[in-house]
Amino acid sequence: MNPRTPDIADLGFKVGDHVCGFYTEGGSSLDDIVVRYVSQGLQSGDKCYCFLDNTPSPSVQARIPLQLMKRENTLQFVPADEAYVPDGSFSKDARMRGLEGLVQGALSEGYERVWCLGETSFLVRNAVDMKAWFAYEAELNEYAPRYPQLIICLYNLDRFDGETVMNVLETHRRVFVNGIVIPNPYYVAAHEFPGGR
Amino acid sequence: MTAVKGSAAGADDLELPPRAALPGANAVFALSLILTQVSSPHQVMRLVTTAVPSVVQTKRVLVWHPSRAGEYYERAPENIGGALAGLMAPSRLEMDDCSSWWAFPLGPPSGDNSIFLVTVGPKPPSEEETFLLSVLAQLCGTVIAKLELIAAERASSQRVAALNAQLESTVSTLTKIMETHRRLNEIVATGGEMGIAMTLHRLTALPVLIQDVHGNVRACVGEAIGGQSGKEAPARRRELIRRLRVAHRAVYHRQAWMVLANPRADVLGVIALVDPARTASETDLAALEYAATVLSVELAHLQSIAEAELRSQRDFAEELLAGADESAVKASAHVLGYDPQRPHRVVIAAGPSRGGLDEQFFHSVVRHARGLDVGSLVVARTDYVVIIADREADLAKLQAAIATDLPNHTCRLAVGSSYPDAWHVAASYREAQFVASLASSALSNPAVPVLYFDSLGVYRMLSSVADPAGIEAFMNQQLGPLIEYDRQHHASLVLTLARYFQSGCNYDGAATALSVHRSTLKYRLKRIRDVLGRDPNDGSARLDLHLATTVWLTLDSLRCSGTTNQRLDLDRLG
Repeated sequence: MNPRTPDIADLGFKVGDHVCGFYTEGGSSLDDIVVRYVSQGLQSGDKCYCFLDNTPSPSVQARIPLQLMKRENTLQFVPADEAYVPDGSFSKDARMRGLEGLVQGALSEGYERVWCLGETSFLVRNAVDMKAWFAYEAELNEYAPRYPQLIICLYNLDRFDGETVMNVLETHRRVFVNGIVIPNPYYVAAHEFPGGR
Repeated sequence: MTAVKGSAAGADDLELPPRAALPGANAVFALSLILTQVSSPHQVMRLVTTAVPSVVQTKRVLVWHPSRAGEYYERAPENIGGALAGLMAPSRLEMDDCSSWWAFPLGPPSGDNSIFLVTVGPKPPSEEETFLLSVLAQLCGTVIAKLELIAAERASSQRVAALNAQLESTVSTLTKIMETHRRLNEIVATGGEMGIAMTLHRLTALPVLIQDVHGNVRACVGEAIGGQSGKEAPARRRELIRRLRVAHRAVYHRQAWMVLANPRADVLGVIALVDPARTASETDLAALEYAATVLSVELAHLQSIAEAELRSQRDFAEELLAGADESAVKASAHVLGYDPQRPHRVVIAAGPSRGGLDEQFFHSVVRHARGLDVGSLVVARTDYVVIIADREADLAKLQAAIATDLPNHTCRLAVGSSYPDAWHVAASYREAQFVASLASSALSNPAVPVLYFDSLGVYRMLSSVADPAGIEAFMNQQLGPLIEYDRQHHASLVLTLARYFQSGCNYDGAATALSVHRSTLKYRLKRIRDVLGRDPNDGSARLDLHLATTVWLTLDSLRCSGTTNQRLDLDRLG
């Protein structure tokens, strides 16, 4: 990580973060989290990748300060299926390579940091092997600090049960909850997590 | 929606660490963070019951209520419900299997509302696990209470918002209605019917029609299309008026909302909001109904003025026909704004004889007399209608127009002479009456629909002779025996002789005029020769007798009309 890159103070994110967040369809909104996270990234002049099921509606995009984009593609919305299950199934290594390639590409274009946001409802839709998924989540904890990047994984509480939520908590150092990022005491280091390194 | 289970298939090769080794307290703290974000009690319990096996060693986790099922809990088995209801603290449940059942109350004890988190494990929870499950259950109770409170507040806010919206709508409606009343009240003083229609159109943005009771348009604003373009049949119109009378509010008919303008029992008109798409709001209909009230006042006012005007005109006409003198006529005419110093003549219109004046006939005469600009003063008599014509007009056209309105097309006009001013109308009236009586008796010719006094020839001369005594003496000398015979035998030999001469001594013509058979006529003529002692066809006798019968007819006509003729003294006819 470039030691000169400062932390992003407003929401409590730190460079090298791998954070989880939760939302519900009747309460805290995915749109609100996306708008806040991406707005913060654009305000910092950084590259933003959003891996979402659906591109945000025009009314949601209108809330994002797109005028802050340095270039036309500073903010990119990528369909979650295309990013995570391009061949119809999830592969931890393939996904890791793909993500690393995107981040390296952005840094080579001159961006100082990369903000990644991944929404995970595709796991249900594609019946992804959850063990493989959490092995990937565990490995991200070691991958994230290697680059000047911030990663947030979002889970829909209407679609996942408590056991999955507990696994999410085990695989993320910090949690984005009620608008702030706080340390997660339930985190299990990757080398201790089943399937992790 | 399908929730993903953490223990998905294909994970057999994955070695899970013993759950008891997990930092349980941290797990509860982390889970409590997540619970702050859930949106419903059902979601709370779903997450907790599926997360607990990750925190303590247990096989199943349930949510029970002692006596009923709910959105996020099940009803406990009957054999355990009673015991469960009395629990105040974490307790073991006595079930009929080898598992260890434990119940943890959600929140503080609340009688019938107590709900429990129930764990089923291979052995009783440890002291630490009991503590963690108690904390988690209490936390669930608190979160659920908070969510229920939020839901109640939200529902309350929605109720308040709905009430506010309703109140706002009511205030808005009342404001609009007040504005409607104000504008219509203002316009009625200055704008009349058209003003009312214009104002209602502006208030509703819909075309407005004002009709009389028959469906004739009195005022129209906006494009009245479709069903309102034509006049409907009288029977259907009567049915509509009946419905409107009963409804006392707007009725939808022929693509329009309609309301009666009837200040009292009378129906003065109908006001309609043309609305083919039925888009009129309650406020629009309220405006229509108030416009009907305002229109009622306006129409009643107009009717009152019209009635007063008619009364005044009728009184003035009676004054003229009665022979008021010049100064009286001039005074009344001045009040009415009427010009008396122009030529006047009287026209009597007689219609079908049905033992009285027919109302339809009267209205027809009034309408056409005004429509053809014959005269504005029209009064009714028992058997006919009198028109005081104040300008020369085509009376044949008037007769034809009136006749067209009548079922048997029977209408005759008797016309007096024209006089230079209104105070000579009485003279023209007497002449018209004389002509009218001739038309029905002496001339006996329905083929003459318009008969002018000026065209009467010898009749006119006879009716206007200054001293009629000599003429009557001549008549009595010529016809005395015949008149006496008729009186004694109730016969009509004088009339027979008169018709014989009128028909040019033609047997067939006379028989037809008298409605008798030719042989009867011949018999009567023989009797006449016998009574008179001379033959009516002889040269000098024929002229004398013809003249005498004409005098007799004239006097008879005057007597039948009841006229007190200034020039022919009827009293002397005996």
